[in-house]
Amino acid sequence: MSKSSRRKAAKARHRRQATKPATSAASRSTGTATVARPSRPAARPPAPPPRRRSEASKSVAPPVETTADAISRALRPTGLPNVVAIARRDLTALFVSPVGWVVAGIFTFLVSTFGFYFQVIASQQASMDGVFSVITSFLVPVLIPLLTMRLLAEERSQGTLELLLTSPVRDWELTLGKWLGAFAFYLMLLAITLVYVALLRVYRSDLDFGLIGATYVGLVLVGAAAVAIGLLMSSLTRNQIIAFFLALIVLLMVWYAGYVIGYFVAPPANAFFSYVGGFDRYRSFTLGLASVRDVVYFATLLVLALFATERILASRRWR
Amino acid sequence: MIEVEGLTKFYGERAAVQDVTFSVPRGQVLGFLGPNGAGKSTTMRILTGYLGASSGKASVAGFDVLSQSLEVRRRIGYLPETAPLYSEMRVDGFLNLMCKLRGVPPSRRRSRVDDAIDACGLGDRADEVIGRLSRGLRQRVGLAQAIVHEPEALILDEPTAGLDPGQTRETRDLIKELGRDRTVVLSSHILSEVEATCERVLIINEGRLVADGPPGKLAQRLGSGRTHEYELEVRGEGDEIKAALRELRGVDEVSIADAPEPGVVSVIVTTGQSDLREALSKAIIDGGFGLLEVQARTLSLEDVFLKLTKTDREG
Repeated sequence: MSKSSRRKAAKARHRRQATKPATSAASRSTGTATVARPSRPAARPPAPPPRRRSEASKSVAPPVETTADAISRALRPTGLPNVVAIARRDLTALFVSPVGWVVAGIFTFLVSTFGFYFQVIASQQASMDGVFSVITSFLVPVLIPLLTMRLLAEERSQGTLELLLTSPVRDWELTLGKWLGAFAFYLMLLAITLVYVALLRVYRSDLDFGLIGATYVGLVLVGAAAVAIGLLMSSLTRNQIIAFFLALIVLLMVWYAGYVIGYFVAPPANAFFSYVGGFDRYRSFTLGLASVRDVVYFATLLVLALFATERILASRRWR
Repeated sequence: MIEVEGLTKFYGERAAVQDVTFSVPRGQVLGFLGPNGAGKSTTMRILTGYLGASSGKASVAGFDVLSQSLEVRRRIGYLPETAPLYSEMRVDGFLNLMCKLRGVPPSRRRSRVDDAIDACGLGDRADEVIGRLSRGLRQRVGLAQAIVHEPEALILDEPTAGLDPGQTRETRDLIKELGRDRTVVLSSHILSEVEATCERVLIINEGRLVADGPPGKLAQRLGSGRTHEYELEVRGEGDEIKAALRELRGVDEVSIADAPEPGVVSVIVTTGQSDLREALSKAIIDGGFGLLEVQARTLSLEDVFLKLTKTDREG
């Protein structure tokens, strides 16, 4: 084959390639070779030629499955990719919006002053009790509702819930994703307090890590259940303020059931309420006892709240 | 592509949609027309699986919207009424999230997002935060999310609501463009929009389907018998003009109203015949009146619409 004929063949091939995806007339007339996938041109003609997209994707890229594709396809039926995608969006939204920073700021302030400074430096008691009591008396009942109030209430009021639920996302995937996003933020806040464990270790060499570890297990469980309850309250309304107060009230009721309800009830029954109250169930962890009974208690709260949330989301179909 | 049979939806006592039946073949652009609160959004929400019907059946691509909801949702792109978006996200990040949720394989997400951004003319806005975009641009992002996973059918609820005239035209062109190789169902309460974009129109009023057909034929068929109306402005005495015109062959009805100009009346002539313009002007001039204006009015979709919704209310 002569040089010129080869060049001619190449040119013809080039022309075929250039016309196949049928990009804008401008790029065709200049005859540039970079038409396989058009970059975003600044001066695009107002009416793009028809069928450009579908033809381009069919002719240029025969779908080759990469490893990532195969993994995502295999995981898809489990619903896990959706759960993670939703959780990630929620977690990022917390960092982009002021809410996350306000909650984290308030928490670190309280935990470092009331939890650590007054307890350890001012009162000279080298224990984590102060930090833990800030978590149980403020982070869980007040800050968790602040984190969870927007979860579904905002989606409802903004209409984005419709966007999510008309995508192939199951109701439980949305529930779990929402819960996971807020719970991950709670875990981050909890992780901040590990700094104080390290600091205390400097003061005391005989620090009881078993006890502290058990308490953290308890706090993780408490937080998991509390976030689920907050999520449930957020699913009931489109108003974030209402969701916040509902969550606050319900969390306090559950936590102090033994004290609030038990106070008004005669002796044999009040023992029951203090038994089902979250506070008594959590207390065993602070004594270093991570008993099955108490783990089951918080796990039950968690599952019940998530299940109820899923049912409420699904109820739109028959209401 | 889309089959709806006897669809009924009650909100408490009130029926939002009553016994609606229609089907949309693959590739058709269908307009759902009706006043606000007629049941358009409800029907669309049922089609997308967001709401359940009280009774009746609906299916998309052969999959039942209730029992095979996930299969349906994989195949549709939906733009809800107010184009809800996550305002704190960037345009490309948001579209990528939607790709993920709709099962686009990781290796193709990037190109799908780019394609959707290109198709909706958002090229230079890809890295902007959605909350800072104008209403028209947000609407385009809404359209982009509806097409990002290359669905077989698009369901667009009031895609041009709240846009200025320029944006409205752009959006319409875009929808036409998208409708070339897809089934599109769009709703609107603006008649000209449906007339401009759709091959077929369903008129819905108070939850019931009242008309079904191509926009041109619909106007013709429903206006049959009184297809033509002429509006004239004539200088002269109203009663004399009326008398002169009534004698003309083919004239069914003449009505006279005062025109803003003194000494001038506006005359509306209704006829079943094809074209009376010449006869009318001749009669007026022969009668010694001053002919200022002749205008032929064919029944537009708007008239059909008003007529249908009015008779429905009366009945």
